[in-house]
Amino acid sequence: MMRPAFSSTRQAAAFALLLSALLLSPVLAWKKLLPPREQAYATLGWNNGAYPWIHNQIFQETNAIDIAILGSSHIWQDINTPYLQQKLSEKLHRQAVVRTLGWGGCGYDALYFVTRDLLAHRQVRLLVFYDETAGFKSMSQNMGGPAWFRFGEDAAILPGLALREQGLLYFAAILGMPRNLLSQFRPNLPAMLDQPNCWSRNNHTQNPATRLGSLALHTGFSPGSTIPHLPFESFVPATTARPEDVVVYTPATQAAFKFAGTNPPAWEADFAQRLAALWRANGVQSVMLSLPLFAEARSPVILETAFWPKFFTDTRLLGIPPATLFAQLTDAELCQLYADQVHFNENGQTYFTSVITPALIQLYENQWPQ
Amino acid sequence: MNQAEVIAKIQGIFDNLFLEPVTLTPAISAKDVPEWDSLTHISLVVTVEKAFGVRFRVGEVETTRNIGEFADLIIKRQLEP
Repeated sequence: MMRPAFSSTRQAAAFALLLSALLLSPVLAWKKLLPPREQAYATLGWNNGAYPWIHNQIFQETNAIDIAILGSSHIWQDINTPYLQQKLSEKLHRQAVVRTLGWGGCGYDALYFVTRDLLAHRQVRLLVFYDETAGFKSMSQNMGGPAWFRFGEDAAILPGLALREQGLLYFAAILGMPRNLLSQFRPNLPAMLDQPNCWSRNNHTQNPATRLGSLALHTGFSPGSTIPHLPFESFVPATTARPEDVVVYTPATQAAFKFAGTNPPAWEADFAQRLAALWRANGVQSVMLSLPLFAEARSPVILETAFWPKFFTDTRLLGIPPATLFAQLTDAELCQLYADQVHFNENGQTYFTSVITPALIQLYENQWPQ
Repeated sequence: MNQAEVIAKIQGIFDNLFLEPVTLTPAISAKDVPEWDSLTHISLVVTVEKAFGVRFRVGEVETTRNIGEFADLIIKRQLEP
């Protein structure tokens, strides 16, 4: 005979009380029991994003940022930030400030929260972002929700979202409560930004904080997550691609783009609109930088899933047709530029950034003439 | 303290924490010890912090691959002001 789960009514009531307290903890804690907002980032390690660096950039550094590059791993690993900063400094005849804030996992919810926190503390002159990978199959709520969605502070975001999505955010807040309460009593130690970290040990890759936030993977290509990466070999591609081949979306250049026309999930669409409103309210100029996937490398046009200009009405959409970017490269050479199907390795990052940088600087200068 | 001395001290913590005897070597890791689950890991880290008078940052311990690297991390933290 099975034993009952509880030996007495009192025990069952105590369990019910405990469960209720857990489920209601975001409401009960409200703002009073939450640690300072900066702990939302300070309590996250390096593994799933450069969070200690993001914390440093949002809450410790104070100067204006000329170009901020924000987004998930796709853009985190595709832009060589020190190179872009050097070229912008040369153009401006002063020390420019270019920073990348990158993390793991797609979702405009993550981009919204990080951008909101950044803009609350620092002036950003040009914000460059990209968060699309391959359609919307992998695009859902970002796994970092329990860290940065804190019900006591962010409940105002919920109206307008579907009930299911409100529920997801609320449960994210529940999951985040133990960490919040713990960091209230025992804040994390200050991050060591100049020390080797898990990236250095596992991928022979520099701590992103030493590269202004960008992650340059020192790995060869892997066609699938279960297939080991090839050894990394430095490779400089010889192509005919020029910075002039970079295209900004306008009615006149629309033939260079192909939008599949897929509607993003309501969650993504909602946060895209909130982002656009956030940038507008803060007077931030934004650029959506289309990044080519490995599978798109032979496409003569820039491929996008959704028609993003509809959502980001004030944003410039920038890209280069992949077939032009990778012209003259064999398939084997192409593999030397990617770490996997989505992300460039250090070779690809260096090459892509060198082609795209003049256009980014031009867009910066158009907005902030010297 | 060197790595061997740190591991010898951790051995004492293991002897108290684990029911089955575990003989520590620098190469041993959680996957070699069936009893070493996530809850035991928390107890282990908290006990080590107290025993050595150090504190770890979030995510630091998880990135060590074995007891040898864990001991090295403890030494590094002890040397920090």
